[in-house]
Amino acid sequence: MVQKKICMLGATAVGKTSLVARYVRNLFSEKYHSSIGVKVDKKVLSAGGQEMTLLLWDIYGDDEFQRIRTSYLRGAAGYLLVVDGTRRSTLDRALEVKKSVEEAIGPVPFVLVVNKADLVDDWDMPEDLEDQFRKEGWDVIRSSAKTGMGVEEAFSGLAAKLIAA
Amino acid sequence: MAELRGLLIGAELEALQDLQDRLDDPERRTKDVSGVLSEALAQHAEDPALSKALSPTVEAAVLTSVRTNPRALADALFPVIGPAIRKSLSHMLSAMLEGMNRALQHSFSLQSLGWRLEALRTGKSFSEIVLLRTLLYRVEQVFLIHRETGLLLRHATAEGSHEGVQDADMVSGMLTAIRDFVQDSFGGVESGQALEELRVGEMDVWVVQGPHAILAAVVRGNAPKELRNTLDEAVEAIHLRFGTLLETFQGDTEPFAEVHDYLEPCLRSQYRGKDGKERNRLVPALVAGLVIALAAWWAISSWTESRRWNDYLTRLRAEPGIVVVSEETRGGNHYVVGLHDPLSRDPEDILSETDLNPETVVARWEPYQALLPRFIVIRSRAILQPPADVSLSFGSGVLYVRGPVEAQWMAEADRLAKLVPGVVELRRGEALDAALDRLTPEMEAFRLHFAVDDPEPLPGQDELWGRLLAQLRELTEAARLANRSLKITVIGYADSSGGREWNLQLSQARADNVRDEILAAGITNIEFGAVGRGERDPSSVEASAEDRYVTFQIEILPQRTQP
Repeated sequence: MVQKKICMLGATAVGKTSLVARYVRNLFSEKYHSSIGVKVDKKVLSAGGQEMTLLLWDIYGDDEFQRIRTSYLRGAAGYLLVVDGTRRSTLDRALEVKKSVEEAIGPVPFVLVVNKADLVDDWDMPEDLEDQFRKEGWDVIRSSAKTGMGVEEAFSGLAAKLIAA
Repeated sequence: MAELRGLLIGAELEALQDLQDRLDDPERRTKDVSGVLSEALAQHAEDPALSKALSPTVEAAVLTSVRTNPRALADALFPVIGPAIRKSLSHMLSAMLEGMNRALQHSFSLQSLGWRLEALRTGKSFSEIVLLRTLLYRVEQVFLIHRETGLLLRHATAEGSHEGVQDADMVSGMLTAIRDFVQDSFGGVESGQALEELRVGEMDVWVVQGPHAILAAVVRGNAPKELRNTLDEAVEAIHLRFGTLLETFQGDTEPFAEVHDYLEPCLRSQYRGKDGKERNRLVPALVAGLVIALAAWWAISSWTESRRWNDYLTRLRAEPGIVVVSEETRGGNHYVVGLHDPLSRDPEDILSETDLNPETVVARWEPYQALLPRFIVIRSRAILQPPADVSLSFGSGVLYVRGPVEAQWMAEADRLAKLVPGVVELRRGEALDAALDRLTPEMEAFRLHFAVDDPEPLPGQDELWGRLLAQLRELTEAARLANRSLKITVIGYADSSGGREWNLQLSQARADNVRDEILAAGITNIEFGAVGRGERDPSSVEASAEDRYVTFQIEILPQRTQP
């Protein structure tokens, strides 16, 4: 049984926590976000023929006012980068986060999760941008906390990358 | 047609025939199935349906095996049974002992009573409460956490601890996050400084850091500082043994299974021993002392009371004319039932002479007539009304009348006397007992004096003689009436002059002489002895007239004389 530490990063209010809420094992409440800035959840899944336990460090949103504590990134095998599909700015922010992460712990496998895919009318993410990312070899997955779309794929996609690494 | 068939499909027909044979022939079928049986079973190894289907067969198989060859199964189980039983027994014993120990230790203190109440109130078992309250400290959990990733390498919990083991990995992650947070926010310049301790109420989390792994111990209670040394040593030992594995850790915790052996010793605990109890011994000791004092006081007072009561009963029993039939002490009162002759002393008077509280005595006295000579005489006196100088006495059913009476009175008395209970006959004379009572003191005070060296009595003692003889006659008469015999010993003495031998002889001679004279005077019915006792007062130096005398000693013989 293999354990891996992964982080979940993104701007504030992209819906990280609610996205995964139903799919992970919760022990700690969200208040830890505002106190120490991180909350640890657990996701158990099967990948590559064996059971894998992902310790998910749900790190609070990063924006102009708060910096990510890079110490929380230490030892992470991979991360989920979550953006709000209805707010373009969150994508820019995510790219900055990616840079910070790579500065801190190097080029670690990640999956780009574009959330709130159910809000079709407010969609702010150009289709070609996603394709562009995919061409660069990124995993880009659309998700919705409401419908549950894309969550399992995000995890299993990241897990697959971890095994491959 | 058949030929055509044979040509076209000859091979197929053969094959068909072969298949048919296979199906029809049980031997061949078995062989075929056996070839694939094990594989088929293996494919369904995990299938619960297969297990369920096989289970009765397996059961039956085991039964058969045991029946036909018990040794086979016994041998197979042997390595397992012994240790399993031992372990279970020792577990049970030590749990029992511990339980007994604790129970005994705590049975009689106020504190333990309080704990029992608490146990009732909170629904926990008494031993749980005891454990909680006597705990000095206990290491309940130990986490070995990979420093870099915060992943849990190994987790150990103390026995009996109720802490959840399930999410130890998440707890490890959060603990690491907290450490990072604290170090980022409050850490000093040196990178070596790390969060060492967390405290929440009764629980402490002690964190010991190694280069690649950290050890976190959850401690309940107050642990001594030296526990940290134990943790330090454990971390060092782990790094020594698993150093490379720790450095190359990628998430696989399998290789770290033996870390458990290093974590176990960290699960220390210590309970409060006797010391904590001393303070509480005082109260139960006082209570016990009080109880003992009360018990002693009660015992003594009841013993004293019973002694008083028995004293009273003894007095009652000693009193002539009172008979104690039954007695009982019950519920703080004394009960006595008996017979009381109105002529005897009043039991109430006797009671007042004791220390008993009269109100605790409940008595029932039935009147009766005791046939004591004394009482019979009194009753007779009342009925017969003898004249003034007539004395009555009683012995063995006979009422004796002594003194001057007229024949008429005598006849009347003779009739009335038989009405007195106990009186069979009326006679003139005296009862032997009465006579003895009257005369013995006189006779034993009797002194017949002698001159120095003279075995013959001094002259001029005729009056004395006369009285003596008269008394002797009365005695013999009384004895005759009573059909008893008397023995009278004449005892002679000498003064202190002369040698011992001489005085013995002399005193013997004196006694003999007096005896002979009495016999010569015609006193019969008395057995006489004569004894010389030598010097009356061996210690005196001077010869004294007082010492030269003869006296008498009277005995009633046990046997009756021949009639």
